[in-house]
Amino acid sequence: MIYEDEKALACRKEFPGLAQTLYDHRLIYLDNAATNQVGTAVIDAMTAHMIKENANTHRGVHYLSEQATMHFEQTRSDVAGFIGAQDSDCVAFNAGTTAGINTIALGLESRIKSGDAVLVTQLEHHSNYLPWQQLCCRTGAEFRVVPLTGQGDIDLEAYRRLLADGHVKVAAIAHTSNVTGSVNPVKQMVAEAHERDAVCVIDGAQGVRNGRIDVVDIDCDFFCFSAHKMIGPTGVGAIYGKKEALQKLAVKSFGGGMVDRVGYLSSEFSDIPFCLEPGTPNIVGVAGFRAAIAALNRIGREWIAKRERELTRYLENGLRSIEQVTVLGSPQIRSGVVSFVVKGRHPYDLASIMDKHGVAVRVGHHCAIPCLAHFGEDTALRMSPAFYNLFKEIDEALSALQKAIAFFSRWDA
Amino acid sequence: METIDHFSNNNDRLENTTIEAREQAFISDFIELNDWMLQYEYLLYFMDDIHEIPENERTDDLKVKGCVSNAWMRISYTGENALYIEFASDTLIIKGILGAITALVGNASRVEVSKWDPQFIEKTALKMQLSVDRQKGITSILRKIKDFE
Repeated sequence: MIYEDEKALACRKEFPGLAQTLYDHRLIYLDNAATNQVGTAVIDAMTAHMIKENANTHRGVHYLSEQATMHFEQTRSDVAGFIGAQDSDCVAFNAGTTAGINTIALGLESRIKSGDAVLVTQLEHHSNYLPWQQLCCRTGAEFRVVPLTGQGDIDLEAYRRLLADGHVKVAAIAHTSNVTGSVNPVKQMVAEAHERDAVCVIDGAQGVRNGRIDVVDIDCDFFCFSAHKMIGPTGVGAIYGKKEALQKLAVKSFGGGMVDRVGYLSSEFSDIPFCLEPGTPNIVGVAGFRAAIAALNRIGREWIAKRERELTRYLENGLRSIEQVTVLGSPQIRSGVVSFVVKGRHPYDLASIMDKHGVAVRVGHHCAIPCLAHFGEDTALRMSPAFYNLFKEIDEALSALQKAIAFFSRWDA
Repeated sequence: METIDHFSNNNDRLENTTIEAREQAFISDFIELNDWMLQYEYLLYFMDDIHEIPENERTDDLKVKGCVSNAWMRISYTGENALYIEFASDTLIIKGILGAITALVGNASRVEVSKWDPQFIEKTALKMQLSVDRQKGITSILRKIKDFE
């Protein structure tokens, strides 16, 4: 019998989505690498905002706008504190990680030219691959992709070789893979890229919940992340940038709220971070973001990190004990994600049957086609536990997987 | 509740009638089973109805786009001006649905197919059991079949 952490049992009560019954089975939610369930505190904060202070932020002089603005800016400070940033001006809100990386890629474009190179790794999510690939297509810069080792870790020797000629202007690296769960040595990689004067962009989407992030310690120039992978709402996230890095970023999206003076032929834009937040922001989402950060801090980030690594290890061991299963990769440090394939069975079929047992898993290329190609696959199943999952849920998910495998074996030729 | 054996031996109920009648029989069978596992089994029996595109002929131009699985379709006419539909899929569930479409369309004439208003997903639990993306894929297949000239 696995010891079930009392804290985990208590935590679950804060997430009403987990109490659902689907197809006469209690929901087992193991798709946290895509989106977390949101807590009652987040739901309440968003509801309270819409009831009590539903107004546009900044430049309103009425009470509701003042309240909304004050809470919006407090969230900026909370977000900065959560990732170890020293100044809240280094945090710009946006729609999430994808929006953030695109903003940075477009903002750096004028500094990239033919003869330069941009570097990513083979385990990147498409969100941290395509913006750079397309930037290279537009500028004529060379697109360099760091290969993976047999285990599925970033090949650091290859990384150094690709940096060596000094042509790399940007190194864009995932903190944690959304396919293998490998936690990458980003601090070391940033230091090596900085030796060659490359700007370092970290895709923090996967790592931001299940490990303590300190952007100052990592020393990255930019760090992008999303609230929905931090028990917050979808459609909101943030860019962190070093002050000088943000100031050098060309503004590429224009509208209200980001300009100080508009003339007939030219305009003056606001200081960072406001120049990166054109239009009405997702104020309701930011209210939820704030509550999510408070909840993660209250639950305890060290405990979350430890719990998620234990759950992931338990899941990986369970999957490896099933004869037909091949787990993708065996990285040195794995957190929060295990992807796998089953011999002779399509992931879609298996996930469909697991769903009918109430088990929510993800299937497909996980927006990481180059990474799956490394393992010789074009589609895979993925289970990704969060701290509110239980060991017994993993047992039940593995049992549902075995039932699904058995179900289809009847149709083998 | 009916057992799957009752239905698996009766796929011929879907033969020698109009598309509408065959579709109504399919819908009735599916609803009567009233259990997702039996419904999946019922669907999987239709895999045998597929005219399968050989693996080496599954070219990109025949591909039905989708993220989680691959499906291919090729339509032509038989000498009698009836549609001849070939499918392939790498997933068994989708293959079952494509088999059901093959059985429903049968040897119907081009005119009958063009007048068909497919209901078998909307009126059965297939609507719930197919992901939204897959439903779009199946809808696109049905549209191509209906519009084929």
